[in-house]
Amino acid sequence: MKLTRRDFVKSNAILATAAAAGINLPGISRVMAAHEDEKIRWDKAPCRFCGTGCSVLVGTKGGRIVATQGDPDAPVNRGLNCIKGYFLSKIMYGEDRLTQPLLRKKNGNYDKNGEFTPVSWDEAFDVMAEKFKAAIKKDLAANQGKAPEELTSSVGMFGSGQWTVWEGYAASKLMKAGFRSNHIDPNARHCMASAVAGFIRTFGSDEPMGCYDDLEHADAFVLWGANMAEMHPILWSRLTDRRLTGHDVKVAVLSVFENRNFELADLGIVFRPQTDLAILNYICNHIIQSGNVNEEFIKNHVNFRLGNADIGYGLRPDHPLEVSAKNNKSRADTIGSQAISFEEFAEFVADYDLENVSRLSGVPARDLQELAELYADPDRKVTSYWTMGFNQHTRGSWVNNMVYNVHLLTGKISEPGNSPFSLTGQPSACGTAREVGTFAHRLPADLVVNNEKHRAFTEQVWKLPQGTLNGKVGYHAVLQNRMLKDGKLNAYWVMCNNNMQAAPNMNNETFPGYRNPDNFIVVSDPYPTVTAMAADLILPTAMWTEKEGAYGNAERRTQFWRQQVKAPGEARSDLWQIMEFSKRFTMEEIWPQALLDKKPEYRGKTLYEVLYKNGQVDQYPQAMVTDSRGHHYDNDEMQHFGFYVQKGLFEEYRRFGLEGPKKGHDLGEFDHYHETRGLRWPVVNGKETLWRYREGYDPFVKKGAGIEFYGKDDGKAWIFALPYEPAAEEPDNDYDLWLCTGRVLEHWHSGSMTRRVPELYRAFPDAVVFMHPNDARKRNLRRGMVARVQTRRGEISLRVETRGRNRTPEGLVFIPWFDASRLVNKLTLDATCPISKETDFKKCACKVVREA
Amino acid sequence: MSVINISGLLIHSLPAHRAAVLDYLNNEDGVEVHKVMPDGRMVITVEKQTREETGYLLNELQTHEHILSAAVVYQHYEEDDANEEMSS
Repeated sequence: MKLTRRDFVKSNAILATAAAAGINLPGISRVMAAHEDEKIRWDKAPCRFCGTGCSVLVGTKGGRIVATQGDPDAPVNRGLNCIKGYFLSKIMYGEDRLTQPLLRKKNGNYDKNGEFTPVSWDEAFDVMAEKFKAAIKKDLAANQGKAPEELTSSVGMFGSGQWTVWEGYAASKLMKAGFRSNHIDPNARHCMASAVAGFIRTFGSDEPMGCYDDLEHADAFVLWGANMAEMHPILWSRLTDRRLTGHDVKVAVLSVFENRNFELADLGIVFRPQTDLAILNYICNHIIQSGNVNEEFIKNHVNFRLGNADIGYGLRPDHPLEVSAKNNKSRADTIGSQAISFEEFAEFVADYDLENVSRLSGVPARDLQELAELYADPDRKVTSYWTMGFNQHTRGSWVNNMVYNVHLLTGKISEPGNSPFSLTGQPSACGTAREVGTFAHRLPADLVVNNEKHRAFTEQVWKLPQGTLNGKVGYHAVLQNRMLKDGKLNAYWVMCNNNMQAAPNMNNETFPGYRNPDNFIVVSDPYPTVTAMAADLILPTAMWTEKEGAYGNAERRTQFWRQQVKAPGEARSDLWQIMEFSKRFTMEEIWPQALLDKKPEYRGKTLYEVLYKNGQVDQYPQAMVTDSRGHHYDNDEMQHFGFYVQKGLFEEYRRFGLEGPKKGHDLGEFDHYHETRGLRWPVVNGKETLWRYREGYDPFVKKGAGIEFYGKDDGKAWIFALPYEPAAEEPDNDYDLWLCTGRVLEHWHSGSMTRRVPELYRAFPDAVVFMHPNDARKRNLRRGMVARVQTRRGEISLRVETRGRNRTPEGLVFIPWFDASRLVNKLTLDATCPISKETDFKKCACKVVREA
Repeated sequence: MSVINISGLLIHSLPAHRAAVLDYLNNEDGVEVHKVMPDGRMVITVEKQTREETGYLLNELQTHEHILSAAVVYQHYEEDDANEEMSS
């Protein structure tokens, strides 16, 4: 039989697909093993998009990425790829890629109301440094004689869960050590902050105890406000596989509207927004009433707490809801709790009985009971997944605590298949934003700025004089926009995110803040996003495999990649920008005399020398980056700065995990990561950890302890008694519908990358308003007609969709936020969880009218 | 000169919807179904003239009401002579 090349390729396609699914296909023999194409160089990299952390093979030819495919050796995706991953090779080649700095100018000079004009990097940094120096000079005067806990600052930065690990680390050093400002926060605040607060409150340590291996071990999956089919398609594919091939595996899906996941669901539950709080308390009540509490577990491993209630909604302090709230006046009030007994907890949740909760949530009693029985059944291993439905919630921290309540009561935690698991939306929300500590209150490896010991340890690693670090928690994401508007934050750098489009209440907070004449706004991005266009200076940025990088995914897996291609024109990586900008400052310009007196050797030095050329970060000499097959790779930052920048930053950062006061955050050696498909921390003796807190899996658990939640001093996790409280804004006579925002399969977040891939753009070009046909009919609307959606904060026009993938119940509409031409955040309310400061993008009140 | 543009996909559907999904796939230009498992999984290949056409189909598959999941496992694109015989 003659075999053509087409036959050969097709056979390979069939075999690879069957192999990925574990299906044996005897009829076809593998004609040829790995056929390395001489013309294309293949290397691994984690995908640029979501927090799943799929590994892809990146094919480079003639200095250009020409192909990507799922990496068959990757434990996360096992060769699978989703549609966004299929088009990954195209994200860097949009027609409007930025290739030179652009400054607003009039008559040859910077002018806030000028036109964007191409300038050199030198001119860009000159103007930018002048603005930052002016703000810092003002701060130095205001801070004279103040203790570290009292320091204020008017410079800030909005960073990213898409920064590489070392970019986030370098940025954090620049702001916290260099400028002594804690006003740095990542866009992960909008997506993961409630998960973080939940982890810290319940376990005293951030990030999940389980991992993706739970997907093959669980007998039941419960999705809480996570549209995995569209947002985490590869994990969904693994989950689907388990459901179809495992014995008696059940899937329950909870959402405020029917989405793609309902097709697979054995139990599909649509509940009234905000009543997840009540449902979770009902489940606890059911577990207790049915005698399914794991007594041994709670006796040895759990403390019970009554959390403070009535904590407000994170709105501006003069908002009526804030004025009337009882426990929102201080941090201690909002996070406060007191010890209670198990019996008191049981009594607390007893009010949440089947009848009450069914009425409140609108969910049939039998469905609620079936759900509770999945968790209560001692013979069923349950994994819970959640994403933005939980996190973007004015009680997001509570609802995270409450799902742990369920898993802790039954002891279904920290072992294969029994896992409460927070999914992430960004490729390095965990690895960078959280672990490196780019939040306004954090330092690396779970340390915090308002803890003197944590600051002292950080100062020691960073070789800073004692008292350098600011001890006051900085402005979080939503507060940054308010402070820009109020003129308190004046020099501001936005990097690797699209916050004008992403942040809530754009008309009243974000836009006025950026355009406030007192402020200078710098935006670094590969593309002219809505945010970039609102800036005063735009810096063109190298993206993804145009630089060497590292991301950390949702299961604590840190993955590295090498630079594959060069960035276009004068685009430079965020790392280059941060480090190069630091050269513009002498220490005398940014630190007070008294601080320099403690470290006289820093006199006359630049910030670059103090933070990066500090004898630690610069200790690895320039070298050729080579893979195991002998291929060579560029490293433009190493070339420019003259040392292995990425390695130096990573190895310095790693000391926080190895030597820091919070145990269990150990990372492996830099070079080891380049050889693997990632490692899940804690990494001890080169070995990763799959399940934390359980003896036999986690090397930090004391021998004989069995389970130890060592993030807490006594090794016990906290179960919180917390009530149902209403949303910040609910439908009323004037605004009679719930507005829920979110994402779609084809686009990733604000669409700044995926909307530049023609195939993805055309697949879902414009945002639509998904609504129930009856709601449409009542407003004289039909599918395809243009409707106007209005809230108390703004309005947008878009087409009505009453069919398709999302089926909303009457009384609720859903609008995706990817569309830069239909900015749904003109409508949203800037209410946040008072504990996590994460915005509730899922709930506000709107009305829909027919376009005149 | 011609193009080879072949992808291998793993499809998941509920057994109850197998017939409907198969019917849909078999009527789709360039789609071949190579294996159907009793549990509802299918191994298919997609062969199209351009990557764009493949993309549109992928999108259609992933949003088809009875397809639970469609993951691309293998993809190959080249503009060589597809009918050239392989040297053995």
